Amino acid sequence: MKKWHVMQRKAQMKTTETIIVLIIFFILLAGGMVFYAKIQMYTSRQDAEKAQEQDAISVEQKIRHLSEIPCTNDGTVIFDCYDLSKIRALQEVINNHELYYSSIIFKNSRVTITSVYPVADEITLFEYAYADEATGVQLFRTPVTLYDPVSASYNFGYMTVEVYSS
Amino acid sequence: MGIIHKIQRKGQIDIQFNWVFILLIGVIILSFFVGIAIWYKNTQEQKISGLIVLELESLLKAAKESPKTARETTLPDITLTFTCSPDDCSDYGCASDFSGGGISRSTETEILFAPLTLSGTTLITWALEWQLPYKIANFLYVTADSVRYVIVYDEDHQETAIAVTSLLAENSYITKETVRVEQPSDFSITDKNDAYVRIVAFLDKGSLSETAIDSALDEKEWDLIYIDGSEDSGTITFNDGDAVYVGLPALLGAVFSSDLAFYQCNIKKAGLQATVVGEVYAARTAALYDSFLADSEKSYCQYYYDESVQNNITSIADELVAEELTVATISTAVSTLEDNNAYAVIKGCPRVY
Repeated sequence: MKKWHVMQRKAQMKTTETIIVLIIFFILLAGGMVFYAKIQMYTSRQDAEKAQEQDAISVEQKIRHLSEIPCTNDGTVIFDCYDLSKIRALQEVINNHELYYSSIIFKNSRVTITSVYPVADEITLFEYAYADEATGVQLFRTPVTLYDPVSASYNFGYMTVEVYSS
Repeated sequence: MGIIHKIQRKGQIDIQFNWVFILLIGVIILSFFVGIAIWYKNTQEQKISGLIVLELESLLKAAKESPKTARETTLPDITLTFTCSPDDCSDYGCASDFSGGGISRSTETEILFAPLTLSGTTLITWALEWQLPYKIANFLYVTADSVRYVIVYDEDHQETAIAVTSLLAENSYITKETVRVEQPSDFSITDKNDAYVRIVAFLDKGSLSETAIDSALDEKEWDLIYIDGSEDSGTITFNDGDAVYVGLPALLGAVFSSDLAFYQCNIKKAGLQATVVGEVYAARTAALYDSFLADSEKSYCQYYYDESVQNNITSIADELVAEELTVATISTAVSTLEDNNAYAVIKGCPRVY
């Protein structure tokens, strides 16, 4: 009876050992998984920031290459020059095609065109409707030439594209 | 003896149970890691496809914004699929996308002409401005060096064919060849092991022998479009129907499009874009008219921005989105605006476009 008890205890100890090893193994595994998940979260947060930045650049590029507002010479586009009369005309057209401009072109941005010299003026081309709720803003400023066809004069200025993130 | 046997058997059962237990847990652990490996592999594959498609999207955007610039880009071996549905359009674009490795990106408002599928590692992008007479949009053409474009023409159609060939010559990456024939029956083609051959025939509709082409190309994939018209406008005949083109960039759109529906879909998108751009030009012209009407010194300028000029601008956009496009209306409006612009410059007035 004594021998039987000893053998039983030995077998129980072996099973307990295995269970303890397994518990330790799973604890280490869980620790590893938590660590991996944290790294993944950090990486995906960084990726999201990068994607947001790229998104902002994409919006800025889209605005710079709009067919509606550049200065043209018999249809030939003059790069980084914007026609003030086209900008004003576009302001009207945006109201008629709100959905197109807000969802496809300007998205979550605010676009202002500022004339610095010789005439100081500022035109807001597009205003993001939910700017107040945004958590951050990426700002792009590009020096531009502004052409006024009525007075046939050129102004120096800059275009500001503020891209909001939510 | 009986008790010893019993104890021995229990010990054996315990040892056997221990092994079964270890085996069971081993299987669980092994399948857990195999599962993780499979999941990780799938996620990474999807991630890589996503990255490729994302990079491709940036590449297409950059290419589109650089008109008259051809680019050749090396990509990982991935099959790209382009779709565009002309029957599913909104006020601003049509349902369309490109996809690779199960990831797709919308091209709802992008005017992009391409074959339905592109495979291989070399992607060719090219963009041209579409002007009627003011710039409406940039057309983007996407193809691969494994696609061969064969331009065949006769004397009667040489003017347009030469214009297209000259324009295509600006893109050195495209695999192309030009064949001039006296009679359509003189045309012959050799198999160069291309993935796809697109024959662009500036000949009378249906004049080429399809059976001869089929046997010459050893039953490889190919198709044929006929073009009849000038540099400004004309008709394109695809396997599945006819379409109209206005301007060389639109004609080239047909050359690079997989079929009639794909071409019409993108032309529809261009028409919708023309509406918005046209509205801006019309509003600007109206504003210039009002400005010069109030300007006693330069009041003569108002003539170049009056209602007829504004109507010409509007008619171009209206025609481009009409179900039945009337090329004559567009041509008249374009030439009127061109003349008007020239006269405005002579008189020292601002251009309309």
